[in-house]
Amino acid sequence: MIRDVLSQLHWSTLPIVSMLLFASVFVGAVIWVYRKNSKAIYEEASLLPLDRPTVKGGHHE
Amino acid sequence: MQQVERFKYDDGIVRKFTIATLAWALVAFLAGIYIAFEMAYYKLNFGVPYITFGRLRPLHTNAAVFAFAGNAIFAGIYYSMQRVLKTRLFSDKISKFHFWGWQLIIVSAALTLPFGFTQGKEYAELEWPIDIAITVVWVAFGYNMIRTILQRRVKHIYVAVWFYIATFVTVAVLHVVNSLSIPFSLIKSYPVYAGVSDALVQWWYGHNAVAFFLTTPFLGLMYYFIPKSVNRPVYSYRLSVVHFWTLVFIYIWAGPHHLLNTAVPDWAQTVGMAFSVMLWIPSWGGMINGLLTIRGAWDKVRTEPVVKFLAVATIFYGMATFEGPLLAIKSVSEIGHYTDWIIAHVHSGALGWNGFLSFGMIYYLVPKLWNTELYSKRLANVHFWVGTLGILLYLIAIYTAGITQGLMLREVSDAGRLAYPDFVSSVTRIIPLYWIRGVGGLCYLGGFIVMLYNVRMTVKLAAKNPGDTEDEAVPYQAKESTADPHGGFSHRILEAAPMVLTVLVVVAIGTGSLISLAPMFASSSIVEANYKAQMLKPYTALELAGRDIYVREGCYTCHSQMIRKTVSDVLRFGNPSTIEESVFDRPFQWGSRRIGPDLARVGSKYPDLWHYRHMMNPQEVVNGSIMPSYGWLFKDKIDYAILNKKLDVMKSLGVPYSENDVETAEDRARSDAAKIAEGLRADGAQVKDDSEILALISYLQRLGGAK
Ligand code: HEC
Repeated sequence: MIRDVLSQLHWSTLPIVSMLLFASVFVGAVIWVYRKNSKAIYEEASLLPLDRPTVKGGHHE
Repeated sequence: MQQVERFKYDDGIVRKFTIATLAWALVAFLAGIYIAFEMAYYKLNFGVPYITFGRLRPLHTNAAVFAFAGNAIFAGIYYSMQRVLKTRLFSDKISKFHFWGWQLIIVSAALTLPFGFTQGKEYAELEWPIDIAITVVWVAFGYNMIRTILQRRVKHIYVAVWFYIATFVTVAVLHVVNSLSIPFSLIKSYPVYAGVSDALVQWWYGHNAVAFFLTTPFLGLMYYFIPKSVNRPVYSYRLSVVHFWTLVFIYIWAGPHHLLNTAVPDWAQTVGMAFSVMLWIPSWGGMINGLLTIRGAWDKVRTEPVVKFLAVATIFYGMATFEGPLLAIKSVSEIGHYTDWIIAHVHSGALGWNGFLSFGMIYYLVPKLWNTELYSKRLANVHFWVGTLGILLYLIAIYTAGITQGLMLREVSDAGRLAYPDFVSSVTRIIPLYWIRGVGGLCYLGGFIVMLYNVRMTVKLAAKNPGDTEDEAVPYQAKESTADPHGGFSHRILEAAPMVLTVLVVVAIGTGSLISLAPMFASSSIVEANYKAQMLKPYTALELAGRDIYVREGCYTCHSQMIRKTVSDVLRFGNPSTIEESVFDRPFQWGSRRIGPDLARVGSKYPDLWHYRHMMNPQEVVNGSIMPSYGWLFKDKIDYAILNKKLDVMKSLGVPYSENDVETAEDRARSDAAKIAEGLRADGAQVKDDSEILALISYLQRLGGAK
């Protein structure tokens, strides 16, 4: 039954729907990384791989 | 205020995976070089079935992907994850189980593929018992990883770890869905998908095995080891976050670009093409991010072999991901698909990106893991240059070969005829390039052997029992940090929450998977209706036996069974293949490389005797052929007794066999075979009634004439 439904759909609109989906993921991700507070968080996170004295659970003032 | 805790990282497990990486790399390279020379000189299989091209090529690809790259990934993930999360791995026992389980899987792959136990789907060749083992070990790895993340002593989950999570989740889904099959014996099975569905699922898997086994984990490693080796943070963390989400979201859609111009519905091809082109954005974002991290430390590229390898690996990542979307454009694919162009594309990724990144990582890891200095930087530089020379030789030769053959095969004269009607003329033309490719491979191997020596000496000169590295950190408690001014609600609910992150990854890949696999359901229903109307007949028992031999021998590594909707394909091989024609094909055998001609309509093209002589000795029939001879098919016997069982399994999968077909499968196959044998004997050939060649001939003669 589900197959019947699927085979009736008009697939040619799907590429456009998919494109829009991608565009929103992309724009969403960009907005997300520029959200408030993100600068401090990302700076802190980006230092994690580097060797430096480890003090206070994850904070490095 | 919490107490500082001291703890040890599990370095032993990383040492194990590192050594395994080196050992399996040797196997992968040797197998690759051997099949490269088999292409240049077809006699190199010496008539031995276990090392013919069709059986050895899957061994090479599996060794390269799952054994070499796989172990490298695990070494790098286990090393970096502990350090960015400031914790030992969750369980030493699971880590060990993971290690030994994975090696056992690789050994069983090496013991089954040469014997022809294969599912006949690229990078998913391993049979069902091994597939189950892979699932178990993979889940153990994922569990170990997630529990490690949960017990971390830092607030943030560094972006590399996100890439590891995406790797775990996606590979698990891909592997399970693509490997679903019904066994008909202790080792062998038939896939649950057929024809176009199988093709779509397989390339959804195949493409994303590249994406989530050879790309995302290595990107994670890049985001750790590049900052580490130049001692500066990643150029833009923001960019890495956008890189992550767009990559994870887009990759999964691109599978159908492996099926351009084929019988797959047009709209699926369009989606595959569009998403492949969009992959440019995140891929290049990531590459630029990696390279800019090295900026300002360029002097290290000259002096430090580690940085050298990592930088060049990143450049190869950029090149391969620039080229990939290009090849996914229909008109480019028309030339490149089925030729060595694709092989060149893959190897710029495999040798350049995965290989060099692993080498750079190992040169970094070995001195750290054994508490010492690298034995010789000079030798590491030698490795770098010899390896680079090897890659260049390989790529120049094989790009040229691919483009030459692609252009020759599609050239049509003004009179509307093929310029090179003889397929084999396009093969003989590129043989010299195969020799050069082989030499390139030898260089790459030579550099690697220098590395083995260097690592061996480093370890030898180091103190015995290197032990585990110690570190200290304050425990992190998620709840406590609620009041943390830096954190922010939005951060906590996503980037610092491994479970939420995991779920979001599932949603991202799930959306693309569902939408891009939906045509499978739609088209299979149409096809079912069609074939009932046309009364297509399923394979006879003997044809099926022959088909299984075709799969076993890996004929698909050289032959496609998919005539594309392109002018030259149609002129050369006949009408484009239709979906209906492969509706009984489990596994589908559309192929991905034409070293020999397409076989979709080879049925009735030649008399039985032609095939008999050709399989015995191709060069005697077709001048300049590089197809190996299959002498053993004339001696080995058809397994008639298992045919009833095989048809029964097919019937349970929905193939329209009657009860009677199943019960009489063996008898019918015997009498069909006897008829073919009689005909051959009448023409003067010597053949027994149970010789495997009879089944293969009956299958080949059926191709293209399903009605
Ligand atoms: C190493 C690559 C290679 C492998 C593996 C291989 N072939 Fe071939 N095959 C070729 C080449 C090259 C040709 C073209 C020259 C010739 O006809 O021999 C060819 C031609 C053929 C043809 C003739 C097609 C035509 O239209 O003229 C048939 C049939 C065939 N192969 C069947 C098989 C079967 C069955 C297997 C597996 C048992 C197999 N081949 C494995 C390379 C290969």
